[in-house]
Amino acid sequence: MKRAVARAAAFFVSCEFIPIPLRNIVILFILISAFFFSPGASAASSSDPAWRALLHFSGKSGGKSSVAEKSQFFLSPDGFKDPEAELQATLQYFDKSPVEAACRYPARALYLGRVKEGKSDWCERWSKWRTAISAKGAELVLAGPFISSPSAMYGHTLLKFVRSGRSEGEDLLDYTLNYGANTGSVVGIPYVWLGLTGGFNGSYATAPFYLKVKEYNYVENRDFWIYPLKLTDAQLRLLVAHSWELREVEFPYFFLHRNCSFYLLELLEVVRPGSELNGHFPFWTVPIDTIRLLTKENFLGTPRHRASRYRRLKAYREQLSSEEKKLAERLAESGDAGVLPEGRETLILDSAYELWRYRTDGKKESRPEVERKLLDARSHFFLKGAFSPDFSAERPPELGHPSARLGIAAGTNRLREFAEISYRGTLHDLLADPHGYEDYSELSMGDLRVRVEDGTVFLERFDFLRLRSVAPMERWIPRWSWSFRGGLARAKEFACSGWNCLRGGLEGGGGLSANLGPVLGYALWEFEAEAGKPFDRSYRLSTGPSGGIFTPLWKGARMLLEGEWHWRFLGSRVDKHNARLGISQTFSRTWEARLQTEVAHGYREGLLQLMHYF
Amino acid sequence: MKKQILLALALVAVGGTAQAAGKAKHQERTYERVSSSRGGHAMAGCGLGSLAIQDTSKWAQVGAAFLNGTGVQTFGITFGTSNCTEDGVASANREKDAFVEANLADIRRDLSVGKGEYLSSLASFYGCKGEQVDSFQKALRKHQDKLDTASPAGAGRVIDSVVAEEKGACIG
Repeated sequence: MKRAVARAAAFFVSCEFIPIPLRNIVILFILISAFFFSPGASAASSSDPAWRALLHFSGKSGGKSSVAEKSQFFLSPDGFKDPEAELQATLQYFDKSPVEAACRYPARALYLGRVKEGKSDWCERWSKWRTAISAKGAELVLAGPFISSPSAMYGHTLLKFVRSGRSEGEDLLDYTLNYGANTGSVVGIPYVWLGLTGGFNGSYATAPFYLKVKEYNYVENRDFWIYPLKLTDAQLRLLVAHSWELREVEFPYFFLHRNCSFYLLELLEVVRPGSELNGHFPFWTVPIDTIRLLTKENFLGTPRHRASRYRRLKAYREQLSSEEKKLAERLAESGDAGVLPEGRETLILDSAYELWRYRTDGKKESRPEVERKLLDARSHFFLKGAFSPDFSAERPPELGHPSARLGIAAGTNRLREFAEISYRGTLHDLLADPHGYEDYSELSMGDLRVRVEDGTVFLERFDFLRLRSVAPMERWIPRWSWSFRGGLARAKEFACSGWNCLRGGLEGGGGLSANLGPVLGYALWEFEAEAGKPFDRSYRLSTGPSGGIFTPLWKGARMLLEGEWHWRFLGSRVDKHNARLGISQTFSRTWEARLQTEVAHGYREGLLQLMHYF
Repeated sequence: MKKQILLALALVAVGGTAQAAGKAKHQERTYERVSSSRGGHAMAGCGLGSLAIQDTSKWAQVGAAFLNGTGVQTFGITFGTSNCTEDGVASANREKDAFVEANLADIRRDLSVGKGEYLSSLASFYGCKGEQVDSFQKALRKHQDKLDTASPAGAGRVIDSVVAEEKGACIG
């Protein structure tokens, strides 16, 4: 429309045979009538960030094409790469079928000022959906870390609509909008590979919050942090309308970058166009980092916490004596435990129920007879003062350290001094402040260390991926410890340095960890495959134990002593043994210092690192 | 020599992958609709069941946990394609049935304790609020045996009949 008006006006400007005063009147008439007869359309422009956000042309680069898959979402065949073509096609659609168009694309209707309702299949569906959602507000939900699963430390975010008419704190019946990959029945290594490389498409799905509670709080044992979104009424209306537009649209999923949080920022870009939220995450989008950004950009209010089954179980267990723990365990196994100590019945029965649920939620075998017995027993103490865990002291995870890290270090290896510069993309390691992350979990991606020694610059190490989970094995919460590492590293046992000393390798293993007072001890059995110039046969396959002890020291300080003893069984004749001691001191959320020493065969080094998280 | 190294590394990598894929096939992580296989109430219910997960192998867990970090559709799909829903939301007259079917264990639990968010959410479908939730749960407890034997898919109707018998249940 805008283009047509401009063309008409330009035509009259060029009509020199018409006297100038008359020409001006005609042009003025065209412009005024365009303003009055196409409501809202005058504001629409294909370069308008609001329009581009509705089509998901994302990022600072301006996005040459939409991040959505080419689909029926676009009315023009070129809509996914040409916002102007999509605008024209949209205007044509609204001219031709104003009611259907407004109900199929209610956010575009709001943008164009052409909201309309009437009789149509689309309007009926849109009306049912909108009525079910009944949004009086919106919240952002962050699912936190997951035991024994370091990758879950990335977090998961979804949107929740606050339903009008419900009481405060009763949000089970709210609806959520969740972006996730549609992985079908693919599992295992292909699952990870396709997830990392964009092999899956994902979509937004609406589901009640009670299903998300089941999925995350109960089955995966992840805590929720729920942040109110600061939206005006108009923004909320637009958010709901656009959520409807996205119901069948597919978007490519990349675990690290275009993930749940990326697409959640896409939604928020629609309500505050021009924020360029995703421009802050050019390479990877760590959900917990998006929470930090949204807090900084004043999108989020103070969060509230919703504890997982695991967190609840831990809280209950802490209340029990060792005798009571045994009783609760017997109850959770058989539903019977004889006479319970007076005054402690509800606590023991509730602990047993939490344990039974922890063991059976999401599992095939549920043993309903145990449930029946536990609930019957509990009914006898109906409404009796029960212990209720208090999680109000939990601190929200965005207060933890940011995920990227830069470091400088100086050290010596007895023969020479050296300097080191390090950069790590994401996310958390054992020596860092664990707040906001899972205890005893480690996930490092893109950990790069470069050294300068004797005027030579060389790569000290590059860990593409390092995962480690050494959470202690507990009677109620059994879990194995495991580790995986893949990347390049200097083979220090050959006492060499420089590029020629570099080796590539994969290493992984499993074992057990246990708490001995405040000290955690772990032992793993590992396999390692390495190749590189330093080996006398260019490669080495080795296996053997590794272990360590980890303990907090004073405030903000932690210590990790670890070692490996790998016997070679193929390739190079040299075994691998080394030991490392690291002590870290946190100064603030973003600053930390570490003292590290390492011994590998005859090689020894020590260095002092200063690290900045950002 | 180099070929040997590559071969050795490839064998290690492929061995691990094959083992993982093999195990994963048998124990893949799937969310099942249990209700349809239990007691033949599939048509009566919403098809949500207890949304149970099968036990998973360690390998499949590693894979699944890796991606679950940043989002995989699970219950959303199940819910979006059930008998009581359209476009991902429950139809107005089946919303309570869907809620009961998915949360029967928690509702029973709240009933035995005497309070809880599942109980008050359920009560809200019958217009009971605040103190009325108490009389609602008393009414349900009177007929607890019926609820105990109900399947998740059929429990919605059982609760309806109890409420009808107790003449609205909120009047107390």
